[in-house]
Amino acid sequence: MSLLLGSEVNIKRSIDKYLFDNLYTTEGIPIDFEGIKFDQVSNNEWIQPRIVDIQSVFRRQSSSTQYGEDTNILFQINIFVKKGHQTTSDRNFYIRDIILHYFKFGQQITVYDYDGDLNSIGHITVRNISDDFALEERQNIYQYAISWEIDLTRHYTKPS
Amino acid sequence: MATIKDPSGVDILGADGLPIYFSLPDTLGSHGYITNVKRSLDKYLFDNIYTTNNIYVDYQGLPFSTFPVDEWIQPRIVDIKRTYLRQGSSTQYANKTDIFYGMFIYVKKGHQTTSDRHYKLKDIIQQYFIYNQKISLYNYVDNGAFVTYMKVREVDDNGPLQENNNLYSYLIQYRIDFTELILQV
Repeated sequence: MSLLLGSEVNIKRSIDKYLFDNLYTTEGIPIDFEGIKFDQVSNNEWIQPRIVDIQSVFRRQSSSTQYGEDTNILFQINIFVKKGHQTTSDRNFYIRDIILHYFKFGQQITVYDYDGDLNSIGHITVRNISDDFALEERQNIYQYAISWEIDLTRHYTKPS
Repeated sequence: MATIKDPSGVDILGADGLPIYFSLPDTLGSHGYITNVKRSLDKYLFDNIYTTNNIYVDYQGLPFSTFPVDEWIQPRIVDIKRTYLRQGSSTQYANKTDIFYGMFIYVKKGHQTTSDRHYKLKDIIQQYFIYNQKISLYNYVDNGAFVTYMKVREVDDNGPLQENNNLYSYLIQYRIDFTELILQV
C-alpha cells in the first residue's frame, strides 16, 4: 500500500532537500537537520528546521479509489548566531531574511517519492507565517524563530 | 518473545504472545468490555506491526525492556468518550464510543541510518490506520469470537516530539469508534 503524498517521510525529506539545495548549497548556511548529528562547536551560526505539528482534516473523496485530507504542516526554523562571531548587530535578523526568500506565500516545494522511485509526485505550498520573532538571547547566543503553515492535499488508497 | 509468568509461576502470555485475561461475568455483553477493545487493538498491532513489519511494541500491561531494542512503538488508549444513544436493541443500550488511541514512536540516536527513521515508522503504522480502516473486535472475556468492527475515523494528533539526549520521538494519535452495546439492567 503506497501513501505517496500521504507519506511523512516524503514530506520531511523533500523539505530537507529544499533547504539543502537553497540554504546550505546556495547560501552557505549550516543546517542542523532533525535525525542527523550536528556539530555546534565548529559552527558560528546555523539554522535548525523542525516540523512542529501536522493537522489533517478529512475531505472524503479525492478520486474514485482514494480518500483526501487537507493537511497543514507547522514548520519552524530556529536561527542561532554565536555572540562575538557576528560583525553586524542584525545577523540573526539577516539570516531570517535570507530564509524568507525561499518561503514566500504561495512558494511551491516539490515532493519526491523517497519511499519509491524518487520521482516528483506533487508539491506542498507555503501559506502564511505563523510565528516570526527574535527569541530571548542567551549568554552566548542570539536566536530567532520563524514558522510557517505549509499545506497539501494528502491522498490515501481506500482500505478494502 | 520471552515467556512471562506471574508470581505463582503460571504463564500469563497466550499463544499470540499477548497476556491471557481471566474470564469475567458476562453481564455487560460482548460489546461492553473495554478489555475486548484493548486486547483487540493489541492483537491488530501484534499481527500487523510486530509480525509483518518486525517493529517492537511496548504494550501497556506487559514488561518491556528498552535496552536491547533500538526502535519501538508504545501504543496507549489515551481516552474514551461516549455519547449515549438510548436503545441499541430491545435488550441493549447503545453508546457511540470514541477511543483516542495514541502511538508513541521511539528511535535511539546513533542507531538510525537515515534522518527520517521515526517518520518512516509513522508511515508504516499509518498504512494500517487509514480512514475507515476496520479493526476486528473480538470477545476475549468469553469465547474469543468476532463481535463487530471498530473503525478508524481521524488522525487526532500527529507530529514529532522534542528530541532528547538519546531519543527521537514521534506521536500519532487516532480516533477510533464503534457502537458499544450494553445489556440493560
